[in-house]
Amino acid sequence: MTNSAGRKSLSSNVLMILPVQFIMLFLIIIPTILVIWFSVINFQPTFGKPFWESQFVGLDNYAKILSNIEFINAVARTISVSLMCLAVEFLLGLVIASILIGNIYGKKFLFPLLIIPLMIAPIVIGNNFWLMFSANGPVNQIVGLILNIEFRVSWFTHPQFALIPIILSEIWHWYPLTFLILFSGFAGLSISEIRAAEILGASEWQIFWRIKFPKLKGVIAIALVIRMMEALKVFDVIYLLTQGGPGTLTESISFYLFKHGFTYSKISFISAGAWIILFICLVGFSLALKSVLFKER
Amino acid sequence: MPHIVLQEISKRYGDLNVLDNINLEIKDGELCAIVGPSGSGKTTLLNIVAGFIKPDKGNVIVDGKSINHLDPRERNIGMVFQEIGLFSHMNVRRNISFGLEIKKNEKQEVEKRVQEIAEKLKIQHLLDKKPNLLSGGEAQRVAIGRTLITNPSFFLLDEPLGNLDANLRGEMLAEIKKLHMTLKKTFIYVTHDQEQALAAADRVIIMQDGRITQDGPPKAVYLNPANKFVAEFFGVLPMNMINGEIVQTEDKTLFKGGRLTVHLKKIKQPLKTTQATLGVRPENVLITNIISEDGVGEVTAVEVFGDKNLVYLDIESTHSLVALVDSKIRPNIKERMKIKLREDKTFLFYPENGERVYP
Repeated sequence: MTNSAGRKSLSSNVLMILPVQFIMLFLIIIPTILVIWFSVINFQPTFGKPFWESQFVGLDNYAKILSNIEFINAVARTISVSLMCLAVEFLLGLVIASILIGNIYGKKFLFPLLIIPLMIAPIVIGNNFWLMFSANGPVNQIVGLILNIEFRVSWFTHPQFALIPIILSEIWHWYPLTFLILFSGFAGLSISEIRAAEILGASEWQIFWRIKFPKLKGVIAIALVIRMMEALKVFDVIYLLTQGGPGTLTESISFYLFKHGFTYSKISFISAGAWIILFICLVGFSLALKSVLFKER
Repeated sequence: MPHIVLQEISKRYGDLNVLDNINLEIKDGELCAIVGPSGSGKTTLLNIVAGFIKPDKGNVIVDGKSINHLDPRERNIGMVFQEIGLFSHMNVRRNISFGLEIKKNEKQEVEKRVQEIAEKLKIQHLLDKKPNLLSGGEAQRVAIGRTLITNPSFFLLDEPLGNLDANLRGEMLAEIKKLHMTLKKTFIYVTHDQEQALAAADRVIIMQDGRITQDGPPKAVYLNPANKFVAEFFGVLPMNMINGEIVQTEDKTLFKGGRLTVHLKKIKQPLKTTQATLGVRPENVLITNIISEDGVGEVTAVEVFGDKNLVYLDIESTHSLVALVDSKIRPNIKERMKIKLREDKTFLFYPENGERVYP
């Protein structure tokens, strides 16, 4: 009875999810196949030939983009900037979460205030940071006031400093994510375990390293991976603040691919780039998660 | 060995008076149970002694010194929690050794202590297991072992048997009692289950709405409850409570409730109340044939209770009267039985506030 009913509902289940699968076909599967295809042909819309008539070039595009120093620089820059943001956001999130998990005064007010950046559109954040860091903006004025000198840096065109507003805006935008994930991790810890450790004489520091941290390892790994994925995609603030300049000094992977794809129309070239990035991410993240999440089980 | 004194402890949460001026003295080596229903403040009191909660007012004094300013980690207390709270990412061995390890003791000595404790609690075979593989009773033993390693000056147990099933409870209770005998240290334990308190403790402290209602050996509390709350709460079978009125004649005082008329011989002066609740434990309700009975009841049910019988009698009151009688007495349903209450074991309470009027 239940078996036959189960079998019947199985086919109706398949029917139910079919429309979504159909949408997925167009959203994911077909574009993926197209990008693979593009990456092994020599296709540019400006050539005037449709892509199915374009010449097959094998791994030529991959070789070209891997020997392109600007691309390699963009990859290295994106990874190092992401790691830097990640470290600061993680520490900031950790500190704020461990403060707010206690019974502090004004918690109900502070909590929503602290997660506001997450709710603001990147374009607004970009514009704000552009205003703040512009030559006549408040950042220059405040630094000048504090140091009591005439301080005028054109942040966005400065070869060494241009990344600073980008990094700061990224940190400001995303620290609430690590904070929220860590906060929920802290909130889920068993009070008896922490109290048991405390009454056995463990210091706050020991409780953190021996009880809280090992139990939060998984949560921390997930927070970092989610944030890293987001950080590797960084585009909007760069577009708004520096346009990748001065020169190509603030180009991220996304910005590089955007520029070569949409400005120079080198579709095949950036398709190969996209696959290389995907490969790096897959290997990197699976190694990172494997070492933390699945080690002990 | 410590002598624990709680002095005028009060704690409020908003409008709620969780603890109201608690004064308590616990002697060396006592096994003391704090009993009360949920929300009576007993766990808060325990957490104040442990240092997890700061009282609004009052002192916790151990061996003549106030420990109010000390953090829990400085108080040298062993505590067992209701949720047990074993460190789930460590095996049993590391759970037990935690208290010594964090103080940077030598590895060999820590291992020796762990072995000693494991032997004492018969958990040697569990040392390499993770807590999620332990049964409730085993986990509780490990939790006790974990507290033993730091050699605490006294022990606090918060509902230690709350998570165990009924037959394990008795076993663990005996274990705790045995541990108390061998360690000869003060144990304070909190429970909402008065049976546990009756079985194990040297002394019970009964709490109600943030106050101590009664304090004494379990037997004394059972035989001589201070008020209606204690009488109803404390005891395996609840005390019969019959609402009725007091009738004063020239030479005697009578209690009338339903079909019961009880002559209260010990009352010399007239009572200040006309309404009263009569309380009598089921074992003090006798079913007899003597003429000077207190009333007649119609049998509505008979239950077997151990080697005795529980007889439910309808006496035309709000509740039926329950009698615990010898198994030989097995009346039929609807049979009318004569009832006699043991007069010296009968209590009268004010219906409004539950205070005891008599004796």
